[in-house]
Amino acid sequence: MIEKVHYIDDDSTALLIFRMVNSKASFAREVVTATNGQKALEYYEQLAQSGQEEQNLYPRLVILDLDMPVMGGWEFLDVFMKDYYIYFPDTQVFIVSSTINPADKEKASQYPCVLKFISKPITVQLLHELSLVLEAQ
Amino acid sequence: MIGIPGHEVPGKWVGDAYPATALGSSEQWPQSLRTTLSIVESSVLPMVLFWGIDALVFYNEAFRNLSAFDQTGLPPRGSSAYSTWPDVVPLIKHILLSGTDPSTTTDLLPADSPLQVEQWHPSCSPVMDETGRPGGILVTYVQTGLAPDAPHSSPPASQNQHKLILDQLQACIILLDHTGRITYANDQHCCFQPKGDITGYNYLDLCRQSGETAAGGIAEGIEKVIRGKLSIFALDYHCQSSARPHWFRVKAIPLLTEEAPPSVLVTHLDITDRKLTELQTQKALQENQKILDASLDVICTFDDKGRFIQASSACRMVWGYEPEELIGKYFMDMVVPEDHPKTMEAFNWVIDNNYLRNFENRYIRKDGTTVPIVWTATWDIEEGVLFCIGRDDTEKKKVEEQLTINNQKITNILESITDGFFTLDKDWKITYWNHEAEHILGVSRAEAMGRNLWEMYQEAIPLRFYTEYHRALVEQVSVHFVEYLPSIGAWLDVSCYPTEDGLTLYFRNVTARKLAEEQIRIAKERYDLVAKATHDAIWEWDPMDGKIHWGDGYKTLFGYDIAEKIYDTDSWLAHIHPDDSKAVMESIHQSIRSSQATQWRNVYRLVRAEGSYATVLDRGFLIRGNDGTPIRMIGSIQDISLQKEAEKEREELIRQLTQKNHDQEQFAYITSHNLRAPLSNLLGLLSLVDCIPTENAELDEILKGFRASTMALNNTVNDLINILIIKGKPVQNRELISLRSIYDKVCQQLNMSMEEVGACIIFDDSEVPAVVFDKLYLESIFMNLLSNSIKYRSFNRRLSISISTKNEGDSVRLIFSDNGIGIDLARYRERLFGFNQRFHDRPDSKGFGLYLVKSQVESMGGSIEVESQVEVGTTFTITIQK
Repeated sequence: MIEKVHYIDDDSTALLIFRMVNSKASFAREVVTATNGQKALEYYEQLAQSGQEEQNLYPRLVILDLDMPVMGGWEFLDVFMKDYYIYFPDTQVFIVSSTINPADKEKASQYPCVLKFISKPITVQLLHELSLVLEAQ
Repeated sequence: MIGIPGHEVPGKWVGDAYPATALGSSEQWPQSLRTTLSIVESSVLPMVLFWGIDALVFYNEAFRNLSAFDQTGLPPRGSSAYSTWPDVVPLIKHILLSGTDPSTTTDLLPADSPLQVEQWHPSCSPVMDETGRPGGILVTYVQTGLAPDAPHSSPPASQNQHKLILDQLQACIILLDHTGRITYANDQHCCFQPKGDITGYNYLDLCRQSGETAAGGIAEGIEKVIRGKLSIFALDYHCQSSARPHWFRVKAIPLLTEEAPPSVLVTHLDITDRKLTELQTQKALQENQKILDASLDVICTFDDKGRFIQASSACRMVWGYEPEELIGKYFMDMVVPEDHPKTMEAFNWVIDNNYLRNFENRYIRKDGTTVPIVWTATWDIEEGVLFCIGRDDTEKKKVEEQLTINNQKITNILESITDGFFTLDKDWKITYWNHEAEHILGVSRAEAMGRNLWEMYQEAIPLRFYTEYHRALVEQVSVHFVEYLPSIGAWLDVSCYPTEDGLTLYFRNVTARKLAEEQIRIAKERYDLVAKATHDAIWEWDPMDGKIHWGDGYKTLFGYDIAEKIYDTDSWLAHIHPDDSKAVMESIHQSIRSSQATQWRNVYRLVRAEGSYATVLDRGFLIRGNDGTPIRMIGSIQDISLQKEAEKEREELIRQLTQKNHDQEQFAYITSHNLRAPLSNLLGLLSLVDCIPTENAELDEILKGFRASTMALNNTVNDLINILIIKGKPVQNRELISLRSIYDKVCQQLNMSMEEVGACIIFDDSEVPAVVFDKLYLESIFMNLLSNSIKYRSFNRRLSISISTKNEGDSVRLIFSDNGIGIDLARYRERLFGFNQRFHDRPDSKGFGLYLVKSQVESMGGSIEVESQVEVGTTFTITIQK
């Protein structure tokens, strides 16, 4: 069981489902959410400003949707990698998307922090599988 | 004695005095007979005349009065000596037929002949008839011992009569005394006798003085008679003194009388006509001999044993023998042994009195060589000789051989000429037909020979053949023409020449030429049209002096007479767009410098008359000398400004379309994303609901329906998305995939349905256990085909599916067979693999499956085929490259 997961998705239903599935699957103790890339960056900015102790509790896993208003997943990932990755070097990313654009899967492989490209819906079974992936790391 | 008939017509007189004879009445007698008879009747000398072949006997009163004759014993005048005096007939006949000396023959008269009269000497002389030949014989009797010069012995009147008669005789009659002095001479001309009365002259002297060649001999002979050394002297001589050649027969006989000294009667008979005839005959005979000897043919006679009797001198040439050598020789000894049997046969045949012609055999010549002889022979039955003419056949044989060779040569020539050739007689019958004629016209010689041309080629009668051939024959001119003969579908070029026998025709099949001419004509027409239509400017450039010559197209192309502005390399470059000129110059120099390049092309901008630039395509062909130096360059400039613009437009269009396509693709992705996002939520929510137990049965039903709809929606969206991915993705993952693993995975997914329908599946990957393919595609293909089999199974029987593999060398076949309801291929084959096509009213039928399968197979370079029968089953065969 992981400590904290950062789920970034603009779909509130998806957030709701994730919370429910997460608790059922006992995947993460705490779920931090953001509804777009911008809001997620603000979270990390705030986290970076905070004290060392709190900062150390940064989410080790980010589940990132790609298609979001204001700031999409890729843009977030670019800024995060550029400005914040050094502060949160253990961050690992699962990209979760309804996309069928092959270009997205291709792009995902270019980020070393991206562990896996997963398709919705997120189910209990899926989270169990992801736990195994994380343990293997 | 009879009276002198001078005042009377002799014929009439004679006619009254004589009975009808074998010659008819006296009016029918020949004039010569009648004249002679009148002389005989009027003569005082006893005379007998025998006339004609029947030897009719005539005599005068003087003969009748000869005491020696019994008056009644005389035959009637005009009767034939054959019946009365047969003893003399042979003599008369002999004289008449042969012209033998009559005087000598009279000497041969038998002693008891009625013509022998004591003391009278008979003298025979032939009497010529109208034909100039002896017609009769006149026998005149002279009394031996009569002295004609004794005036007392005959009365003057009688003497006159004698003289008249003697003068009338054609013979010159002279009496000589024992000294040779002339005691009597009649009035006839004699060779040695000067004109006028010669009585009293010494005849022997006259003879010797005459200078005639024969005279000496004659004088000598007469002298011998006078002296009693000869009882008779006779000689034929040629008198040279007369103008025309004359022959005489001189005869001297002694006249013995008791009372008078012996005297001699000399007669000169003119035998010129007979002599000439003789000479002519002799000459003719000599000539004949010459002809015989000159003949190249051997003319020879053989006896009945086959021995040579005679041979002409040609035998020298033909056989190498002298004629004398051959006489007595058996001809068979000379015949080549092989020819003996047939020669023997021919000899016996001709001896049987047959006429032999063109009999050939071979002879051995004296020098041992053989010679072929052709014989003509006939058997002369009277003479008992075989008369033969033999011809040396060597030359003829050679000539024949030569002729055969020549004929063969002519035939060979006629046969070898590449023209068709035939000849016609004047009735249009074919008399010759060579091999090429057989070939062109397709009629064999055997078929053609002797046939009428117009019967054979009735189709040619309305064509030029008929009129031209007739013209050639009628006007005797040669004609030449080209005409089409429909039956063989060919144009013939015909030359026709009149000959003595008819026509000679040479012809060739010129169809190919005719067609070529037609093609050339069409090509030229096209070229002219193209030249008119073209807007290209043709140019010719001399690299040595740089001069440029233009064709006509330039004005049209650039609007002004460029020849004035562009005439050499520099002025040309000056008219090129400044941005292009450098590149153009470099490119053309490169072409010229390269020793191989024969073509040059460049696209550049050339200034127009109004100052704007035209984009031109300039193409040139470089002509090089033997050493590789460029001699000339010929080319054309084509204004491609419009093309360039069109190209730009096209490029723009493609760019727009590409953009549009991309946009649409993105749109599809976005749409599908937007569709998928809520669908995912539904699926997620449903998975959560599963975990919550419900007590309410109604809610359970609702949730079940909710789930089914969501799953259906998800399947549809996934299929669409898959299609989108295949269509949009250019490269697939190629990897070696175990067919068994795919089959197992798909079966697991379909496990529920399989069990439900109780399907029996046979999977056989023994031949090809693995293939190189895109894994996801292969899964999809298995999935689609198997689920189709389930979906479209027959409800009447248990579903049976067979999946098998086949190795085809460089390709692999996957065969999916089922015993389902089948597809009506007659109706649906064209649409079977189409997008959104449904052929059965079965649940879950979306119409994407086969479209997807085909797309996936084809995107991997494979192919798919289908065989199906309604209510029997369906077989899909997928062929993929190894």
